[in-house]
Amino acid sequence: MAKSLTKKFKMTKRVFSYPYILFMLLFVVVPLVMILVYAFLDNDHQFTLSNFQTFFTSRSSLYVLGNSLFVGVITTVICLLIGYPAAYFLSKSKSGGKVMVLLFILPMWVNFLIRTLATKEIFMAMNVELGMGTVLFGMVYNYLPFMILPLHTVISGIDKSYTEAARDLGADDMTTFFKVILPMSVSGILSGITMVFIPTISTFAISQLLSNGKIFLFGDSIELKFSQDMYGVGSVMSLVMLVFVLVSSFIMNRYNKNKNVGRTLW
Amino acid sequence: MKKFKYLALILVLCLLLPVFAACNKTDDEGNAVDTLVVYNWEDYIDESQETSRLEAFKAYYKETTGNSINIVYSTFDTNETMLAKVLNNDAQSVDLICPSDYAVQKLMMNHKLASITDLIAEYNGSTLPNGQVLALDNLNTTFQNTDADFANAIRAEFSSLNTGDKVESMEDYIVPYMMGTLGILYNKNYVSEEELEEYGWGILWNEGNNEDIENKILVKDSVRDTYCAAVMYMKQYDLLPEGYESKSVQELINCTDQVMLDAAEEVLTAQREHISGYEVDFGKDDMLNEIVYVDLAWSGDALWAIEESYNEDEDDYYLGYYVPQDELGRQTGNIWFDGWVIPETSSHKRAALMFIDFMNNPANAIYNSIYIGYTSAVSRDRMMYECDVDGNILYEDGHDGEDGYELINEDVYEALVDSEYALAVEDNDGDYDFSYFEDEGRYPTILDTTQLGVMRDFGDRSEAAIKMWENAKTGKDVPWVLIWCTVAIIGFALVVLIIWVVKEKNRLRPRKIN
Repeated sequence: MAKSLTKKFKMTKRVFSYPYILFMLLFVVVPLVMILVYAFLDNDHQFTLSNFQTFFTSRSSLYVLGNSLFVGVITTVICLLIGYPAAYFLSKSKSGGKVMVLLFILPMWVNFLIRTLATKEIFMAMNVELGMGTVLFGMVYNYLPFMILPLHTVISGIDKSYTEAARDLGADDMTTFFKVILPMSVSGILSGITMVFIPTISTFAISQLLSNGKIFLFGDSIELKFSQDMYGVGSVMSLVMLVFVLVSSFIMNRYNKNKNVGRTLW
Repeated sequence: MKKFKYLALILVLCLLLPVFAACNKTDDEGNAVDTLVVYNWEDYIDESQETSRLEAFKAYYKETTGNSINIVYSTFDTNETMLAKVLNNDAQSVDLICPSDYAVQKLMMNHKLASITDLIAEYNGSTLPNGQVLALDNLNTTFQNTDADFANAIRAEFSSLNTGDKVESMEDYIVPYMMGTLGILYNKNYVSEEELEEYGWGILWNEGNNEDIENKILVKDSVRDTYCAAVMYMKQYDLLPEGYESKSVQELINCTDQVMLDAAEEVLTAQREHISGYEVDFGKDDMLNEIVYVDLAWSGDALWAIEESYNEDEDDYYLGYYVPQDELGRQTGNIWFDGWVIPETSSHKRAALMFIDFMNNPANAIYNSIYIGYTSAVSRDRMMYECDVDGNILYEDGHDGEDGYELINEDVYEALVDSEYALAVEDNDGDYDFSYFEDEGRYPTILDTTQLGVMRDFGDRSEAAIKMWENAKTGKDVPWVLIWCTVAIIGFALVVLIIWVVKEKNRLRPRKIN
C-alpha cells in the first residue's frame, strides 16, 4: 500500500502548486460557497427566499446601493482625472520618476484605517464639516495609488519608438498623445477603473469614519447586517456585490481582448 | 520508501504537538495553570497599572487554589456584536460574558447559559486542588450584594421568562456587575441648565434652536439606545401615535408595534438634520476635545468624561450629565444593568465563579467603578459599611442602628481616598466623606417603571427595528448633486464613445491587397 503511494507521489512541478490550491480552496472558494448557502437560510437554518425579498423590497437597501454606485462612479472619475496626468508625467520624467512613484506608494504602507483616522483629525483641526465631501476626499486619497500604479506600468511600457515614429510623420504633441499614447494605455485605464470602482462601492470604514456614520453606504449596510446577526440578508447583499464584481471584470476583459494589449499589472 | 516514513513521522509529530503542549501547562513552580476566557465590554474593568483587578484576581486565584491562572481577555462594543458571535456558536471557549439586560434575556431564550444558582450550589464548599475549601463569600446567591430595590426591579421584569419548555428567572443566570441610565452629556459652556430642563430629550433634536449646538450633537450608533431616546422624545413632545400616550416608559421603550417604529423612524430621520453623526466609542473623547457639545451617553461614560473635564483655571468641570426629568422631577428614560453570565459551553466554571465572586467583593467593585466611571451594582450599604450575608449593616460592639456607629468598609474608603474622591479621615475632621455615593447621576434615585424602563429583548421584531434604524440612518434626502454628477459623467462618456465610433467608421482604411 505504502509502496504504491510513494510510487505515485512524484516530485513534479505540480506539487509546488498544491499549497496555493489548498489556500485558494480554504480562503476563497469555501467562504464564497458559505455566502451562497447563507443567502438561502433563515435564522433557524431552514431554506428560504425571504432574504432576497427583504433586500429587494427595502427602500433603504436599494437607496444605499444607488448612493454607493454614485459615490463609486464619482470617485473613479476623480481618480482617473488626477491619476492619468500623474502617471503620464511620472513615466516621462527620467530620474525623479522613481522617487515620485515611491512617494505615491508610500502611504499604502501605512494601514488605511490609521490613514483615514489621521485624515479625519486633519479635517477636525481645519473645522471642515464632515459629510459627503470629506468621504469623497477620503475615497480618492485611499484609492488613488490603485489608479496610478497600473497606468504608470502601462504607459512606461509603451515603446518610445512609437512616439518617435509619430513625430517623424509630423504629429504634434497633442496628436501624438491622443493618437498613440492614449489608445495604447486603454488597458491600464480599464484595470485602474476596476481597481478603484469595486473597492469604493464596498468600503465601509472610510465613509463611517469621515462622516461620523451619517453617510451610509453599501459596505456599511452589509456590516450592519452581519453585526446584527442577520447573516442571510447580509449574504444576499454580498452576492449583489459579487455580481457587480463579475460584471465589471467581464466587461473589462472583453475590452482588453479586443485591444490585444496584455495587461502588465493586474 | 524511507522518505515517506520520515514524512509520516514528521506529520504525526506535528499533530501531537498541541497534545504535548496541553500536558505541559505548569508554571515555574510546577503548579498547574488554569485558563479563564473573559468576554467583556470595552473599557469595563480596572486595567490600570497600579490597581488592575485582573492582576489582583490572578494573585487571589493563586493564593486560594494554589494554581496559576491565565486570563484570556477579549472585548465587544455592542450587545449585538456579542450576541451574533455567541448565538452562532463562535464563542464556544468563552467562560464569562458581561451582557446587558435584554441580551441576557436573549441568551437565556436560546439556552446558551448555565444556571449560576446551580453552579454556586455545586461549587460552594467544594474542595480545591490544594485541599482548601472554596468559600464564595460574596456569592452565596446571585443577588447577594445587590441593592434590594434594584434586585426587585430586575425580578419584576425578568422573573418569569418562558424559555420554551419551562419558566425561568433571570436571577438564576446573572450576577449584576454595573448599572446606569441613559442621558445627555453636555458642554456647560454651550448648553444651559434652563435649556436642559425646558427641552429635555428635545436637546438631541436641538428643539431650542441653539445655534451653538446645531450639528454638534452625537447620538448612539445602537438601535436600542437611539430608539429609547426617540420614544422619550415623542412622549415629551406629544408625538406618540394615537393610543400610546398613556403607556408607561417601560412599555414604550420595549414596544415594537409597526406604528411606533414608523413614528420613531420619522423623528430619527428628522434628527439627522441636527446631528453631527453616530458613535459608540468616540463620543466621550469628542466631548472632551470640544468637537461636539451634546452626546447621548450612558451614565458611566458621562461620569468618566466629567471627571476628565476638570478645568484648573476655573476650578470647574466643563461637562455635565443630565437625565431628562418629568414634571414631578423624576428621571425618565432607560435604566440598564450589565451582569456576568456563564455560557453553558464553558469548561472552566469554577474559575468563572471565583472571578464573579472576586469582582462582587465591594473592595474590588469600587476599583472597577472608579476606573471605568460606571455605577457598581453592589449595594451602597455594602460599599460603605461592613455588612452581614443578608446585607444588614454591622455596628460597633454594643450599638445597633444609631448614627455614626456603623463599621466602615475601610478597604473601599481607602480606594476612594487614593483616587481623590474623598479626603482621608485625618484631614476631614475625623469624619468619613461618602459623597461619591450621593451623586444622583451615579445613583439614580427612583426605580419606578412608569418613568425609568428596563429594556427587554425585541425577539422576532428585532429585524423590523433594524430596518427602521437603517431607514432612519439612510435618511430621505435624495443626493441630487451626486446623481447629476453621475449623469453628467455617463453622458460625457457616451458622447466621447459615439464620436469615437463615428470617426472609426468614417476613417479611410488601407485597402487590402489580395
